[in-house]
Amino acid sequence: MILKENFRQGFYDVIKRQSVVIIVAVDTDALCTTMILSHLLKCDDVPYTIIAVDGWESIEQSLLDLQDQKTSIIMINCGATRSLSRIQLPPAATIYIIDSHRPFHIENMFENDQVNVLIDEQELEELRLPQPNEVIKDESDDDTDDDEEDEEQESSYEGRMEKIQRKAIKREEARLWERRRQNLLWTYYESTWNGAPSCVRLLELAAELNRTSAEMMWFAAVGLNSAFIDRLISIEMYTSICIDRMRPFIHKFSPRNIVNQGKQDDQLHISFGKELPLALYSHWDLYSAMMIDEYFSIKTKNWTQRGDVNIRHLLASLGITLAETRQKFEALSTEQRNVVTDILEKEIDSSFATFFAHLGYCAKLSAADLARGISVRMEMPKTKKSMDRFMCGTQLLRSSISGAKSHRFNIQQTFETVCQRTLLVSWKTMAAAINQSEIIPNGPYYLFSCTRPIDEEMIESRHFLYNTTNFMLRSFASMKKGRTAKPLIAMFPLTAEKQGWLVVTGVMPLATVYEDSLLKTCIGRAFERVKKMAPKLRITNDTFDSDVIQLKSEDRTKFIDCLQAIFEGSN
Amino acid sequence: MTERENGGIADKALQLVLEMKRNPDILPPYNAELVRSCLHKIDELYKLNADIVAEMRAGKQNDYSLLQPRIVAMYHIRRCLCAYINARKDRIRSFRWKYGGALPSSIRNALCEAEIEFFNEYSSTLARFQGSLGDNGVNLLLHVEPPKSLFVQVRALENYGDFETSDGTLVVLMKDSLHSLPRQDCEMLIRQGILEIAN
Amino acid sequence: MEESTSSFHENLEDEEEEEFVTPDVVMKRMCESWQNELASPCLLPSKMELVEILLDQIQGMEENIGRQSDKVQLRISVHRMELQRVSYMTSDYIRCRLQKIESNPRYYLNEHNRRIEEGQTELLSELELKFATEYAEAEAQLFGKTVLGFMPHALQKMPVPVDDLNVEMVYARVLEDDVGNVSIPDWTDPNSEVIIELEKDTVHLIPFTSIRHLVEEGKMILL
Repeated sequence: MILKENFRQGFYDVIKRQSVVIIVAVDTDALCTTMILSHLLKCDDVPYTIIAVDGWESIEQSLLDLQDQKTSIIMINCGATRSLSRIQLPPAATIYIIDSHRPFHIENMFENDQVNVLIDEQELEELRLPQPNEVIKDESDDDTDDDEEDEEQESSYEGRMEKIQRKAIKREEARLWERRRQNLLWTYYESTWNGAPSCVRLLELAAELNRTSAEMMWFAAVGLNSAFIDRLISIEMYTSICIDRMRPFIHKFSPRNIVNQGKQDDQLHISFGKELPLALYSHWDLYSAMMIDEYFSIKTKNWTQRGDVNIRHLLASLGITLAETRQKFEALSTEQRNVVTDILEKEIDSSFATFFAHLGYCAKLSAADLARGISVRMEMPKTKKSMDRFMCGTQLLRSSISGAKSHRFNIQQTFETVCQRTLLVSWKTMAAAINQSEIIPNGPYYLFSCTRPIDEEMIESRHFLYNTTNFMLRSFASMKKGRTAKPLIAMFPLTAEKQGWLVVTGVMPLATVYEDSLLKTCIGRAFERVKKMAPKLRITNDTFDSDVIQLKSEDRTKFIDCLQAIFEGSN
Repeated sequence: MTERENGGIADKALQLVLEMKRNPDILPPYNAELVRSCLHKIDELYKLNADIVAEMRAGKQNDYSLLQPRIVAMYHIRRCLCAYINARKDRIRSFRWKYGGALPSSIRNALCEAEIEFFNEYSSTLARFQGSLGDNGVNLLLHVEPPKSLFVQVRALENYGDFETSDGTLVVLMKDSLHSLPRQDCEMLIRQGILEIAN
Repeated sequence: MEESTSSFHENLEDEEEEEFVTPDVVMKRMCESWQNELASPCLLPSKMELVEILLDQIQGMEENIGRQSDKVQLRISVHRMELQRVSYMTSDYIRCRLQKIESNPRYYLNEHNRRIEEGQTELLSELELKFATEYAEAEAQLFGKTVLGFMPHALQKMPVPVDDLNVEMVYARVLEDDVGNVSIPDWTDPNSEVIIELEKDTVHLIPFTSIRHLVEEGKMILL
């Protein structure tokens, strides 16, 4: 069932009467949503349980364990894309889904009374849902047929012919309806994308309950940024959400510098302002930040031999000295910082703006950087239990606004060790791929088969995969003209326990026009079709993102061929 | 009949005391041997004294200069022994407050029989006392800290299964799940190690 | 908290009390007794009857709350917090006393009997007396079976340590008027004493023995 308005009465007031079980996917947006939701529940003294899940199997297992429960089960960032009717649901529980994965499975929307999907009204049109009567078989038609049969007493020849004709027409109608349904479903399920992050929805719910605070807004800001950083939503969508939906909160929690005459108080204040899209530059030195940044990297082609020279030229033309870039950014004087930031802003000319947390005398922290840190902590290593990783993310998020020096130090550590390393590895993978010409055209798509094993912690992280493959495709396209029309499929080998398996993911062609500024991708669907086409292939698609799958290395060639056939077929 | 041994008379007794002092956090096994040798020492000293007194009564001996030091030594050894038993007793008492009525086997092995009897007797005395307070008895293991909030966030360390809270809600404690539950319901489970406080 | 007051009242009226004490007074006295017990170096006379009253009330309140089907959350939460605080206070009071008894049971048993003979207020409640006796027995058993039983007869008696309360100093505040004067040893001259006047609401750092009787009468409170 769809829940599209009145979230307060229809959703929150209902769940707070009983205990709540929250099943949450392990990603930053889900974490932020859970933090907001659990805060609301805590204020209302509602007992709740949180279960962190990595994939559909964990969900099934948890639901099995909850069979006798009479609670509300809330699934955050999971559960929307596959039909929950196929899983054994606890019979006495009601399920609510707050998921940013699209498209929703039709059965969850229309056919399952136990399941409620929360959607914003304005998004409903975007989804282009088929009408219920077009996709759900109406049972009553068959019944009337039988009734007619029983009541029919006439045995005359004309009567019987009429009857046969009527039945034939009905069968034809049913066939046409079925075909139309297949077509509708085909177009409906063709692409997958991510809608607005769930944390924003929950922030608005908190506003309805009049319970917003600066902390909640910060959580939502981090979740929103993480969706952008992970390339789940486009910059247009990000900006429009910032402007339309986050604006009332920005006014409410902004720093009152003018009122207090610049005096700091102990409260958390959130400001919104323009920011360079360079990852982590304020916690790093400019040189490294620029080196791994897509824009600068592609501009200077710094993976080639001439790369170094290009960088120097670029810096010279910008008027930034090499010494300035090599120093840690914080070590530059405020004046220098402003000058350099201005130059870079003009150069990149992006419209990226993000949220900053101001707390006491701590340096301001950007939501984008924190989102990166949390994503990295939560997604690697996969050998750590999902709940452990979830708790790591929670601690990081909490310590960003606690104001304690040790906490800030922890965050700094995370940035410097894990985050920067991930970005560097990402860049190196891209550089190696291009320098060693490992990206080969394979008919309707480009194939990248990584031969070296990459850091085993990172390889299963969605953040790393999306970043690396996108980066790769863009740099690849920048080397030669005419490479913007084909998608890129990348395969990475797994190591240690999962030896013998590959992680496969893909990126849409650069030339794709995204309508509605939704980043729609057909890669997931293509993978599904391959699986259907060749069921003998050993493919695991347990995660909630359908465009990241695991494949047994021996089935590689067959997979590649099937994929080729599918891409060519759809063209 | 000489007391010229290597070291002092009450050395062994001192060792017992030091043993407890050096292990403030774990309980070393009951050192029956040292205890026995200390008791033996006391016996020895006592006999020596008794012999001299007998001789004095018989008029054969006049030198009673060693009587007093021996008595002092005996009392000193006794004091060390009592201190040893006392220190162990205090720790055993704290175990009752930490673990409830059931001792983990690692600790049980470190106790001698009399100490185990003491533990059981102490537990039941305490239980009788608790049970007779008020109408339903009071569990003194609860409410150990001033309460800061009604609910506390805990994490389940193992698959405990179904658990009913005081207001009737049924919660399933699965391994690695986070819960927010009323403080008083969790206290016993936290003690047993099934839940841990999560922040 | 009017609801709780009324339910306290109901419970109290059922009790056969000589004085008619309001629940606020009970709480206040319990608080004071708890504070005194925590701060004093030795066991103070038992106030367990206050504990019993409060335990009754707690149970009544809990039943009341359990019956509330409306679950107007804020009121219930506040009541529940109050209950938890009261439970904490009573439990801590009992635990504190038990600790003191356990540290030296024979001494307190002797004290208790002595006070009864001299007609002073009882040191231990009935239940505590039973506990102390049983505990002392268990302790004696332990010592006997491990060490004392094997010693020569003269050494077999259990040592009973006696605290020297003369050296204990406490902070205390005077609660009432006309408390009178106390004498404390003059440290410059071992044989003489200094007289201190006690006025209401003054706070002193004073030897415990000098004001012990005042604390037991409720005229002073330890901090």
